[in-house]
Amino acid sequence: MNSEPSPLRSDVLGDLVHSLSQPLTTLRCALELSIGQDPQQQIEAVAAAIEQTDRLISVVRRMQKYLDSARITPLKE
Amino acid sequence: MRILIVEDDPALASFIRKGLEAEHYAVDTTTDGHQGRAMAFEFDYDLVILDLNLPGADGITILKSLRQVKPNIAVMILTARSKVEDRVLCLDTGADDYVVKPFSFSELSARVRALLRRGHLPVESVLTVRDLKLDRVERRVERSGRRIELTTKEFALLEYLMRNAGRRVTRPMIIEHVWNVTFDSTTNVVDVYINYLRRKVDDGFEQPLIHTVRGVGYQIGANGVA
Repeated sequence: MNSEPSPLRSDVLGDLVHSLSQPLTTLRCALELSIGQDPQQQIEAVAAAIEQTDRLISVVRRMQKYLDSARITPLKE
Repeated sequence: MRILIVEDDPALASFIRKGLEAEHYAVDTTTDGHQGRAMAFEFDYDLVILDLNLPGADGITILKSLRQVKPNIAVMILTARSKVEDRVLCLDTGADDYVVKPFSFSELSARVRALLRRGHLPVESVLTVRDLKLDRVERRVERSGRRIELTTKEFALLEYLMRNAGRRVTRPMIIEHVWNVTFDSTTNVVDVYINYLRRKVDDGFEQPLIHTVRGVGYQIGANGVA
């Protein structure tokens, strides 16, 4: 069985990794740096964390759309 | 020490900047590749943290041109690409380190410290001018064995003066290295902070170490106008 992803899938996965990595890094750094900060900075960090979570939710929704359309029109292997 | 962050995501750039500033670095940020290249060429940075996917010029192109002009500057690449070939390309092009997203700030910070220790800067962790000692690792300052408590900016200013001990440093040089490019260089902030430092470092000692060089700026560790 060939486990190599097709070029199309590689592109999609590459975009997906990039789309997830960026907000996850910001989320991780925001939460990490909020520890031990004053209340105002913690509020700013939580606001930034919510914004990044929204970005991640939007990526998941796009993935869901992609999966739904792939079910209707299967990808050629 | 002065760091440039070239990262297209403003939120991420902002958090990295805040984290590094809390660790006493002077940090500039830009989200544009062309501007990043211009800043790296124009100013004297100890380290450039460079994202690969940038609007304007991409990270690899910037890295190539930067290496031709500033072969000794430390460069750390940030990217979501994790393939071995990507890492090899970055390192072969002249990157000193490579961090794959997502990463934690503590890892990034540790890699920054490691890079800055590695030879782009003076290797000594303790700077000494006569009886004044500044430990860059422990972030501790002593004069004649007496501990001196400094704020973040005071520490950065004293470190810059001591790294240039015996040399004259101008106010714009101090602003550039201890604050950042967006800072208003027409303010008297340098003089104010020099006064703070003098009170803590020189008051109570017969021999002052921080000297005013008239019409130029300041100097530590040599004769001048105290």
